Amino acid sequence: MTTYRAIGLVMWRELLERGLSKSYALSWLFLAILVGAGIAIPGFFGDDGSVRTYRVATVGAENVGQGELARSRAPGEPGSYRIDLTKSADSDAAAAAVAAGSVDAALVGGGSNVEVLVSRDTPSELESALRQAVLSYQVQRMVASGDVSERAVPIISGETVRAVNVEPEYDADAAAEDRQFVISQVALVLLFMAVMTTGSWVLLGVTEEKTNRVSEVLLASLRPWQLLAGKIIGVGLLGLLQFGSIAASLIVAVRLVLDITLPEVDAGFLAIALVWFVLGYLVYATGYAAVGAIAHRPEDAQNAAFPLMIVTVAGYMIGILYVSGNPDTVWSTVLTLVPVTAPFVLPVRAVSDSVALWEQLAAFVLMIGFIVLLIRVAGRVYAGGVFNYRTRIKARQAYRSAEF
Amino acid sequence: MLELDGLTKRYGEVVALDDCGFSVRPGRIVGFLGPNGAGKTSAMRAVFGLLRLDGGTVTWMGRPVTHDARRQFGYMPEMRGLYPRMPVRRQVIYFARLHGLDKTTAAHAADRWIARIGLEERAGSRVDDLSHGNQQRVQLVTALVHDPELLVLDEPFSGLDPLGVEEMSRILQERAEQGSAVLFSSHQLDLVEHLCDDVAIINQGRVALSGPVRTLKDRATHRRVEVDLDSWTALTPAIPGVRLVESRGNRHVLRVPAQIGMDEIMAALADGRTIREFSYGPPTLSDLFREAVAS
Repeated sequence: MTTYRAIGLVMWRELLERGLSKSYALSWLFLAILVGAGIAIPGFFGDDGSVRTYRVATVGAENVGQGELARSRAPGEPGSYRIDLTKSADSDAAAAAVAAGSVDAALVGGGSNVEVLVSRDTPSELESALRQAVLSYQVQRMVASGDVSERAVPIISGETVRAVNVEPEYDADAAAEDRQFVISQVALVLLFMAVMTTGSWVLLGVTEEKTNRVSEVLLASLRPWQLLAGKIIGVGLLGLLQFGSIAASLIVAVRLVLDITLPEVDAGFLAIALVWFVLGYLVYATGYAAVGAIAHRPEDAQNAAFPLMIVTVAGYMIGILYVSGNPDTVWSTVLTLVPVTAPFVLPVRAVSDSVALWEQLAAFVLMIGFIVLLIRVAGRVYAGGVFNYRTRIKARQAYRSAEF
Repeated sequence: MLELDGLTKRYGEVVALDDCGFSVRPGRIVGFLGPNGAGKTSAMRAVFGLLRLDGGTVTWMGRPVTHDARRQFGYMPEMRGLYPRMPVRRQVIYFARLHGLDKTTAAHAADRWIARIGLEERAGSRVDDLSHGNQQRVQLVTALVHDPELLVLDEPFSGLDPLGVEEMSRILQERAEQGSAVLFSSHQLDLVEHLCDDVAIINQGRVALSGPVRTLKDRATHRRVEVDLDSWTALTPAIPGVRLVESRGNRHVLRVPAQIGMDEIMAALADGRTIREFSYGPPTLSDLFREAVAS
């Protein structure tokens, strides 16, 4: 029997037995409920009568009455909102406030020459409401003056109110980068959750096999590393299936329920995020498998895995807190090349093009080498710890006392 | 033929195996005997490469045992091991495939063996829903499903009821008749004596006695005499070398040097007494075991 077949058999058993287990179905259900609640709850609270408030700065446009703006949506209806007007010193100050995000938009000018200052964060419903309010005001003013002549044409055609983006130039690359940054952060969170969840499956799976003594029967026909590799891949695929399906349903739900169009993301970046997601899972799952072999019963497994959990959390925190803000530093480069931090670092750095091709290749090669080495080491630790049924032993002791 | 030669294994100060060696020939059933901690499990694990030996070799058909060769072996460790929540049939198929059988052959073999142990009705049941005895049967089947050339079983009879023991004995005999080499350990010496062609008795990591049961018994330096007398007076001092092994009421067991013939010991016992029952023969396996371990 070839190595691939041996690994494949173990993998299939994991897929079949764990995939059909109640615990797997329940964890899936739990995640689905979590995601569903995440989507449904904001909508639920959004319909409870509370009203969104937009802040709009005005410069010489106070006569565009708040009444027109407030009436743009009837309060209490789904999707209603309120607009608070505040005066700004001049158009520059208003533009700065919009750009800084301290107000959502600004109205500048008066009469038949009004500008709506917006940024890319300005909600489209607000921009639309402001334009409508200004036009409405201008038409009323014209009707009130009795001067309904050819002056009505530019008003009705909307030429008297212009939306001006206060950001100097819309940078498509920067916008894509922002989107990818969000995706990279989501990837980190998903990786962290996947490692913690599926890592614990691997951990408990190995410990249970040891506790119910089936390991000795298996090891009579399998090498330890083949057993671990099959288990890690099988559990990993189940995790990928679970998280992938949840992510897919999340995307569909966001589009259908919340009516939000998701931005397009560069396929190359997605590939990098996916590759490092898989590699990250492999590294940590292998570690959890080795830990499972040195624990002497399932209740002891979580305690034995505590140091590895610390490393997982540290990797995640480094990615989120340090590298996200400092992608170009030497430390970030170093952390890219360290296999336990690379999965949390590289996708973040790839967003801002801070990671050179050689770094990516070097990190990949180091990672593959590390995983191969780690599986062998974990196999040896497994061989040293698997027949120790009475107490937990240290990983080093297990490695040294490996019997086969 | 499986040959264990000069196996040595130490765990710190503890000697698990000390120049341990014996062989198991195809078509023969070998009983592996020894007190607790004598090294039986270590020797069996060594056959499957589950032990890093300090010295010695394990060969199969004259060649060192490779990983591929081990897949043709069947193993039932002392610590029973099955997936408790996995259904019986799927479990047996899984182990068959781990031993190299393709999917179809594995399924047929699993069905055949499950029927053989009378568990067709429970083929879809989880293992932990079965009784202890049935779990033991399934465990045996996982070791047999690929028709192994060598079968190594550590305490296969422990925990079985008499019917289970009978059934497992039959299965082992069938395997041997079909040409497999069978090695099993047990503390049930009467059973081993009845079932095995050969024995290997290990004590403190060393093989103290090994060979065909019949030969070992014939070669013994003493004979076993069982006698039922109407009365009992001090006898042993009268015949040098004769030792009283056991007494229960008027029934006695004597260890008699082989050079003392049946007539001679019978005459000595009949002196002034009435013999109601008498037997003279080679020592039992229990006798050989006790002597080997004591020495």
